[in-house]
Amino acid sequence: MIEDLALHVLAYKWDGIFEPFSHIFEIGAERYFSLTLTPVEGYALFIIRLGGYSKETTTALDIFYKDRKLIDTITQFPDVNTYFHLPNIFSNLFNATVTFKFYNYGSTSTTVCFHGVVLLFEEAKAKGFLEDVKALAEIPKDIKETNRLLEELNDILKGIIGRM
Amino acid sequence: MAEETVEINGRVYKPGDVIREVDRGSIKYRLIYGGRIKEEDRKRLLGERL
Repeated sequence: MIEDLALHVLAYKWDGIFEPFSHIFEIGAERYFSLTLTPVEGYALFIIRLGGYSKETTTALDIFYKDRKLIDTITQFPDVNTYFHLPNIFSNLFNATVTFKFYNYGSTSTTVCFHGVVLLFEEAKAKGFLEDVKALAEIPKDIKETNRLLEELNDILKGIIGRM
Repeated sequence: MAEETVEINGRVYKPGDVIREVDRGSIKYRLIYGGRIKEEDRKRLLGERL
């Protein structure tokens, strides 16, 4: 994982669009709902934050991309007092629908709140963004490239601050 | 109301129906009613919870 500030500056460098979302919905007993995130054609999305909670502890979550499960099933989606993050899917770019499948396997209905932030890029720029993120995340492997990137980020930051 | 349907705000939805759609230009969100949990999923989820 890289620092939030670096991520934000890289997003700026590659013309990323920050898109926060929040959805609240009720799931009846033994029912399931899907929430889909679909980038417009020619764009790719990068997930930088996910969180949520549910009223009951009988909520489960699967995440799919192109019919493939992205993480192990979360069988007890957090209750109302808990917040969670899913760190394992933050290093991928998605240029098609990502599906969040919420199951309520309990005998009473539950309410789910699910929110997050995605970054959207034109596909060509998305690759550049991901390469930069990886270069920053792999500091010991290529310190020269990392230093160059950090200097570039610093210049971008100075530019942003200079305009404020 | 049929077993598989659900009523939300006075409207009846069947499995596969889009309950909510939000188009933000570069990204689209859809909330879709799935239906009743399949028996194998219910067993899997209860089993994995243990």
